[in-house]
Formats: sequence, C-alpha cells, structure tokens
Amino acid sequence: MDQSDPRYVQYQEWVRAYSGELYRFAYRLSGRRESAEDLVQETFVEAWRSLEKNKQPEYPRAWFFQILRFRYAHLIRDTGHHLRTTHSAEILDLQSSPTGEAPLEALANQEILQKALDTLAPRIRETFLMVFLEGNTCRETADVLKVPLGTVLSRLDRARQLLRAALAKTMGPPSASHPTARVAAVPEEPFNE
Amino acid sequence: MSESFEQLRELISLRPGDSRRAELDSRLAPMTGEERARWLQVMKETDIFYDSLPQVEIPADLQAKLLEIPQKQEAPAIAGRIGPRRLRLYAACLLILLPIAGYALWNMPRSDTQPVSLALAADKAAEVANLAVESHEAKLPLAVTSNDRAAVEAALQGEMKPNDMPFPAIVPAPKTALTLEGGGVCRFGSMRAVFTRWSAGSKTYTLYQFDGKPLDIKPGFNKTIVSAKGYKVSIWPGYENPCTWALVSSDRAGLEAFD
Repeated sequence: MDQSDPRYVQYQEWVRAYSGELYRFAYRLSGRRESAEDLVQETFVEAWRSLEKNKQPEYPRAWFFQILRFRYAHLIRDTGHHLRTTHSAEILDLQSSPTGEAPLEALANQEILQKALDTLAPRIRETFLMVFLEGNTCRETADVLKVPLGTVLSRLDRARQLLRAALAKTMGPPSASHPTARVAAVPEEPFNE
Repeated sequence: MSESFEQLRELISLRPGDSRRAELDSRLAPMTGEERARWLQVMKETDIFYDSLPQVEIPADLQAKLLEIPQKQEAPAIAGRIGPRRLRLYAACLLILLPIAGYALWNMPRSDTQPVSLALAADKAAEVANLAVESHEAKLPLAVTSNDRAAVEAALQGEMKPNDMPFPAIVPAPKTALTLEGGGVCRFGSMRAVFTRWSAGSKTYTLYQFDGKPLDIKPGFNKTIVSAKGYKVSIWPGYENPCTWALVSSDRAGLEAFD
C-alpha cells in the first residue's frame, strides 16, 4: 500500500477521527470487547472497500455508524436474537452488587450500567444508544431508522423503564409515578435488517 | 397522548448544553412541585446517560490494527473474481448484443424537435418574487436552528404537514461560502413553502422551496432573476422533483449560490 495514496490518507484520517467513538458504540451495543473490536474492524473494512471504488460519503460519521449498526444486525441475526439480552441469572447478579448508591447515581457505575443495558431488547438498545451515545436527536434517530418520532420516544421511555427496573433490583423498588411511565410499554421487536 | 407531552419527552432527551433545553425550563415552570421534580429527575437521568455511556476504555492497539486493513485487503484481479468461464460467457454475450444495439441505433427514427426553452412568464416571476421578499422581510422565526444541512433537512421533513408539498424538503449545498442558520415552514401566498436562511458576513439570504403548480408554473423553465423592493430574487425549477426554488438576496453575488 502506497502511504501517499490519497485514499489511504483519507482512510487514516477516518481511523483517527472515528475509531474511538465507534468502538464505544460497538461495546455498548454488543457488551463484549471482542465483539466490539470485530464490529469496528468489519466497519473499517467496508469503508476501505468503498474508498477503493472511489466512493466517499457526504457525511462520513453518520455513514460509519450506519455501517456499524448494519454489521451488528448481521451479527445478532447470525448468532441468535438473544446474544446480548441478559438472562435473569445475570440480573440476579446485580442484586448482590454491594453498592450503597441511590438508583440514579448507580447509572454512573460502568459495570452496573452495562449490565442494565444488556437487559434491553436489541432494537430498544440501538435506539437508546443512537440518542445518548451517537448524539442524534430523537427526530434524527427517527429519520435514520425510518420510523415515526413516537416510536423513538416510546423506545426511549421503554429503555428508561427497563434500566430503572434493572437498577431497582439492585437498589430497591422502582418509582411507579415516574412521568415517562405514563407511556404504554412497547413490545419487543425483532431485529431483522 | 397530548402533543405537548410528546414534545416534553423529546426535549427531555436533549444533550446538556443544547440551546433548546431553555424551552424545557419554560415548560416545566408551570408544573406543580411534585410533577416538576419528577421531570427534573428524568433530566438528571439524561445527563448521567450522556456522561456515562462514552466512558469505555479503548484498546491501545485498535488504531494500529485498523490502519493495517488496507494492506490486508488486496483486491483480486477482475478475471480472478469473475472466473474465466463466466468472463468468456460475458464476452460472447457482448459480441452478440453489440451488433444488434448498433443496428437498432442506426435505424432509430430521428426527431427534428429541439428542446423547448421555457421562459417564466413575467407576471408569475413577479408574483413569486413579491411573495418571497415579503416573507424574507418578515424574518420568520426558524423552526430549527443548525448549520448542519442534514439535520435541518430532517427537521424540516418533520415540520411539514402531509399537504404542504408533494415532494420532500431539500437543503441544497451552496456553491459559495454561505452559512446555514436554520429553516422552517411558512405560508407562501395560498401555499406553504419550506424556507432556509443563510448568511455571509452581514448579509442574509432566504431560500424557498415550494410547489409551483398552484401558480401554474411549468417545470423546466429557465432560471429567472427579477428585482423586487430592492432585492434580487432568483427563481429556478427543481431538478430532483417538480418543485420551484426562489432565493432572495440583497446582492447579485448571492444569486449564484444555488441553482
């Protein structure tokens, strides 16, 4: 590979600019370091293939995240739906976590946060991370996923409820009067891309 | 579920520091103490999500591994990828099809018709210019404030009602150095239009996208520039879809930004 090849120079810039946040997203999505690294590598392989064909995206960041989510959809399709959904045994592990924190502050505990994230259905977790980690607004997320805004809001409410429930198993009973609890729970959706 | 409740759910997920959070404060202010406290709790939860989720340790060798990918991705030769048998088949098909295509082209009936150049009628141009200038001078509030074309386009899509325009809102890329300020949806005579506001230094430009059909504007007309109330208004047809564009500019240079 010629180091001065403009395509390689572009590729290097992308690696420096996006590899970190793509890894974070992949880890939060898959919950496993090995899977996260594989997903990021597959994403960059695809990016390089596009560069080889002289195809460049208009919005590279959004494009990289899109490839990553697509690769993840393939991964869970190939390995089974519940690859990442935490089993009750894991939730019970949370119960024994000896932290004295209040539920809300417990979200800052990285291990507890990741275990709580694991309890979310893939589609809900993806939507949640697109907003709170990728940094899209709810409307942008709805646009990318091609779903109504209300669906995105419902998934976020559902994510909040499930995260609270997972934390409550550790810390105590959940708050039933939470404002977003007014929203009916959305059913778990399949994750077929 | 009320619209305001839905908006509140949308605002409550905004990133800390987002300018639209001020709107959230004004919505929470009239609430009772207990209800307000609950929403503030959700907002605090949001802040913790934004703060905690990026805290992931990145493997030290990740970038090095990624930078090796191009070396490992040697593209196989076309013949190797397709396979010699299939390649021969494609070549045979080409040999058969090329003479047929040549014969068909040679015998195709030729049309003497030249492309019709359509001028936009002066009264239509004046009507569009007046509507655009009137709206430009009103300095309508922006429904979305951002310099990100994709974000504004997506937001405008959300702002449009089903009957506003029979085609999607587009935020085109300017050919000159204009900064996007945001956009919205507004009245445009008897119609509705999508508008985006742009600036360059102290100058402000407003670009309108609307359906020209109610004004009996035919698609494919020539770009027209008219003066109205001291402004220059450039009007041209859409190429992606049968919409009409109008740009209000205080100087002639701005008129070259889009077309």
